[in-house]
Amino acid sequence: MENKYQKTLQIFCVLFIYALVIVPQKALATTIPSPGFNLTHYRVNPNGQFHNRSIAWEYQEVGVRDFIKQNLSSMKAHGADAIRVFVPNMHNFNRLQTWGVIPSAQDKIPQEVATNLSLFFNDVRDSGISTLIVVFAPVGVNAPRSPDYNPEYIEENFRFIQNIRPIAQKNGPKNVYF
Amino acid sequence: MYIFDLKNEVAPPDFIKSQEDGEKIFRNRMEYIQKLWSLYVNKYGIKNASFSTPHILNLNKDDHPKTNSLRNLLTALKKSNKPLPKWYPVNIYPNDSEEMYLTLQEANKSLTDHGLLHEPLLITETFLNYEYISQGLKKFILENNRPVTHYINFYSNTNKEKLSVPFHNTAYNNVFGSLLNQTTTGSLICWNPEPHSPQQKKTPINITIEVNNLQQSPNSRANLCVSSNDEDQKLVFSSNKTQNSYTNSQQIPWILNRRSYTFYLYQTSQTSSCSGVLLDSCIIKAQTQSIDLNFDGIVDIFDYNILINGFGTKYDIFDYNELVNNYQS
Repeated sequence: MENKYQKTLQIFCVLFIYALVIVPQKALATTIPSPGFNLTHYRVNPNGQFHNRSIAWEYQEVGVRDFIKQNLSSMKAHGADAIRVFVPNMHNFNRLQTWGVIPSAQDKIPQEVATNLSLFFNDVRDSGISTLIVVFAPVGVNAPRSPDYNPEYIEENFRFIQNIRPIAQKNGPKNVYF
Repeated sequence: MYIFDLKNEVAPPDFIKSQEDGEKIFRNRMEYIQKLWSLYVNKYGIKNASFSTPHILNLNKDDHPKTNSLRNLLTALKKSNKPLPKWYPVNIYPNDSEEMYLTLQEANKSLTDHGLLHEPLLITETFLNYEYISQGLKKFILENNRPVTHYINFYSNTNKEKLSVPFHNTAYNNVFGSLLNQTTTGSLICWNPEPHSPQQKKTPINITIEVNNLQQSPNSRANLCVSSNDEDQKLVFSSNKTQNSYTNSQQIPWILNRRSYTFYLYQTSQTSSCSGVLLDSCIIKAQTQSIDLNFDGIVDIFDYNILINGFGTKYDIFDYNELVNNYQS
């Protein structure tokens, strides 16, 4: 009995030292943040605006995809490990809005946008960048920040999220585990 | 890994209440967070989603420098009665490194005050490539346990001009370089096996390997080697995992009775090398069970009775010393 007691005491002491010394050391380990960039447009126009330069709309235009792929490789080579991309949406869309906003009034997003985003997310993954952040940014009557906001459009915004989510899930970078 | 920011900068700062239609917009934003979070969590769970927060501090307003935007986000999320997100993106456009640091401090405090002690922050927007921003961030992460997992630059400079690719953050490398190149440290935790019976030829053991600040060089790796009874070292395990720090537990099934094993942990650049920078070592000896079988401190007839129990009687085995010799060999 005495030996059993001693053994129990030994195990308790080992666990106590582990809790006292090793666990706090782990908690104090510093996490160095991974650098990354927002990347929604492939170029700024000379007037400082983004018209006709959106990745979501223009990714299959001649030379655009290759240009972005080269830049993704370069960013990765210089340490970048995250890309954040805006997918703005609005109900009252018209073709004159060329800065990258995506119509959300219909059940589905335009096929060309879906294809462009699929290709871009694929290219982010293939570049070796491990994190993709998709940021939703409704505008106009869909935007709760706007004085014109109509709360009825929250369902439309959620449907838009549901349209984008599987594209990112299927094509974006996968989790990496040790 | 994909992550969704369900609405950029939706978390409302207090100061908008004093603006035209401010009360209404504040309320709309709070209700939007609550309802969208509820819809999203019901369908997908919380794993990959959150909302980003702007304007955590507004130091130009001396009377109310705290905007409470992150606190307001948490209040709205809690009203949804759903679990809270596991990570919190913040957009920060500071004027100097102290403002960067103080903003992160306030974000940390906001989370802590809501009982969120370990959830990481992500900087999802800030001016592109400025050393003062990296310095404020570095000061925060060295003083706090709150992880900041990402540091993502926006495509604008401090003049609010939009910039084109290529994007590089040399300021980050300059400021964090000393941390990124910290000396590699490693440790081995060798758990000595329980004493085993003499019939057992091998005893499995576990070794825990901890490596910190493994160099970022693609060829750098940690190798675990072993030597038994002063024989040449042999490679047991090699890792070039990309994480800066990691812990790995290895089960070693081939430890033979009564042999002594020394394990060595090296930082090296070669896959099968048992040389390089020695990070740690430990010794294991597999012990046979004591012949003091009832642990009373004396080897006597009572131990003998335990020993022969099950495979004979004291009349079948008459030479106890011979039996013990067999037991020990």
